[in-house]
Amino acid sequence: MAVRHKEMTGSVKLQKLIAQLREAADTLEADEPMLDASKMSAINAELEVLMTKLSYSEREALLVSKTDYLKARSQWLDAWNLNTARMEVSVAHILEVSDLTAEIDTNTISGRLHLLTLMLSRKGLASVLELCKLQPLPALAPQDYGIAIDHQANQALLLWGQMEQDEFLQKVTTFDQQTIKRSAKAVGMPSARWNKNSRRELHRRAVRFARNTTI
Amino acid sequence: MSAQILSFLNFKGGVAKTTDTVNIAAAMALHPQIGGKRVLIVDLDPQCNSTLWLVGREVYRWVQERDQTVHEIFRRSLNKLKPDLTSLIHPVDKSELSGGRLDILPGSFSCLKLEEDPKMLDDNNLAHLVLTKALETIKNQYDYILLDCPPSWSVLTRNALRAAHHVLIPYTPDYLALEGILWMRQLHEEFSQRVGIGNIARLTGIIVNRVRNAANHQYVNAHQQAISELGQVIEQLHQKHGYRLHVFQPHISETSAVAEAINYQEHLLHKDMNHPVTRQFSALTQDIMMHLRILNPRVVEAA
Repeated sequence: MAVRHKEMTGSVKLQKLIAQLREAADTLEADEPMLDASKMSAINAELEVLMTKLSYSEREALLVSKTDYLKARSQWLDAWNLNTARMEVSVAHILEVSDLTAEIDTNTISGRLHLLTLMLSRKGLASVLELCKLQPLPALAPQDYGIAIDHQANQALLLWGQMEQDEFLQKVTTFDQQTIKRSAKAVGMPSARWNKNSRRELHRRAVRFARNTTI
Repeated sequence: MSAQILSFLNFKGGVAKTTDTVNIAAAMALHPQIGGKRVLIVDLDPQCNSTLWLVGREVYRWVQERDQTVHEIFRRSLNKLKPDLTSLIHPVDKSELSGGRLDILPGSFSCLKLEEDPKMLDDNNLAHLVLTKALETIKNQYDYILLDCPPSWSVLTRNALRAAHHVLIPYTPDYLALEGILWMRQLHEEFSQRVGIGNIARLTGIIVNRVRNAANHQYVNAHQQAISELGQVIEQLHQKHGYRLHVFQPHISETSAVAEAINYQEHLLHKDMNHPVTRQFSALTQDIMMHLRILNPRVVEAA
């Protein structure tokens, strides 16, 4: 797949403007975590204006109304932020590209907007919106096993599960409060007020956890 | 390109093996975005639920009467004849849009009797390879072949383990299904020691099914605890036995839409494409396909 700005935007002048806008937008995005919190809203507003201009320039060749385009753009960028890996696979499949990332830098907003224009021109607005609606999921989990495992909480539960209830109730006040909260969350206990009953319940669940997970 | 062969197996019954097989196969083949694959379901379960779900009772009876089922593969093999799989495969659905198609090799109640045949005994290594050899002839015609397995240790299960590249374990968040995973690990290890590591499918991942609605607080709690227990168990399986299981996302919700789809003899994608559980299956399928892309087949990580 060849991505050709010139064909899409229609003029070299416009191409230059888009390149500048992209550069500015990417710089702002990249710098964002470093900025002072008080400046964030102003910078964000500036970014939004830049991005709207850029988006509208990208849209021009597509014969899609501005309203529809902005709606698609918003959902499209959200979908990419939510799950880059999934979007890469889906878009590569739809556009029949073997290695999408070799062609376009999908980590930049400008790259993603390029893909949006390609998708709109080839598959239409409905397909784009449908793709954005796919179940929002986390990317392949950073954890080794695909689910979050709180090791500290699990170790605490295994330990508490070996204790008699009286021993647990006696010692529980000396345990680290954060560990108690995380362990309670791991066994599905809501963070309610802690009293003798909820401590008993936590122990009961810890016993179950230790028993069920012994292999 | 040769098909990736996936076996859906758990020795605990009622964990949605058939539901997963049917709807993941449908998404792979027919989903407008992620579909477009050529997919074959092989119904190895003598209860024939995949077959009944996808082709309906009339066709089911028709193929049973003529034994145009998976049983025919084993019957011919016992008689040292080559099976003609193309005559047994039944088309289910296809998509003009994505170019994908879904076929099924129907199951048979007669498969229950296979265990009684002395040639099919557990210690007969050739008996484990019947399906492998049969699929050899057609695996270039498909992108994915999904094996819907019975919830038992039988000649059919052993054939599935020898034929497949990956085992996906359907799981429901409860203690008995967790035990089912442990039994799977034990039998897998014993079998792989017998036939050789690398000669059977890898235990690749877990599909979590029947998650209760978030509106019911008590069940949400129970689900969270079950998932924590699952995490602890798969971590131990990795550390103690070298098995690295991946829990696929998202977890599939408990919903009456599945029973509805079965009653209409339609997969979910056809019955109600926009239903939340259909979307969950589509996303799950995408996750599975992505995960398989990064794994090499037949790499068994037994200790």
